[in-house]
Amino acid sequence: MIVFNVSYANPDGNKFQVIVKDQDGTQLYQNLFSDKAFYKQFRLPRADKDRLVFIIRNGRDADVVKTFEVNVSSRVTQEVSVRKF
Amino acid sequence: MKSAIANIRKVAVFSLFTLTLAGTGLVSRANNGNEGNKGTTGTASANTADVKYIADNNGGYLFNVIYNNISNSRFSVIILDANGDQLFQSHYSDKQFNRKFKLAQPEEFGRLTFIIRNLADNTVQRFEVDANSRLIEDVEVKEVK
Repeated sequence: MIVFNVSYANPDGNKFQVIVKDQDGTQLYQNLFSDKAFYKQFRLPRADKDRLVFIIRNGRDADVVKTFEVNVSSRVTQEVSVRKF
Repeated sequence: MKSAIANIRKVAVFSLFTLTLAGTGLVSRANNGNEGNKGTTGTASANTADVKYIADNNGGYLFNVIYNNISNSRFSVIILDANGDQLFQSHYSDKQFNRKFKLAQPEEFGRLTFIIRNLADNTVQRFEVDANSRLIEDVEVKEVK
């Protein structure tokens, strides 16, 4: 899992939407909030190569769009221990 | 029949382990001296053994077995697998024993036991070798502007 911390300052307490999309534009998450100091953790499953887009939309200002690229590389390591007993 | 089984076993032993003759040590012996006496059973002996793992760049496993056989006694080197099955056994009487053993089937390696038994004073020194594989994932997250 990859954890993203999303915070948004909304001093007037207006309603806003948080939308999360993947690289294909598929919507992974959407919800409506009105927190003045919004903070939420998003735990997303990771793929080997991924792109995630976080959108904050309040209906008045331009959308806040943050795009992240996720790259995962794997390797196997061997640990050998010799113990005398 | 018995002899056929013995032959098969012998072949299996030699296919599992390849004894490489010790040249000049690839790995210098550390911890020689007193530490080698730890873990011995039987009568007190100044004969000390050591087993070291030598990393092999080709993905194999190489073990350096050193036995400081000051009494010049006859001794055996036995190697067991994780199930306690004997992979190798041989007798020697080298005063400064220093040989490398290469595991021929590293993919099956989980645990090995090296036993060095001095046949004169019946001291036994055992070394347990464990191999663990770990999957390491490097996750890189970067913001795309």
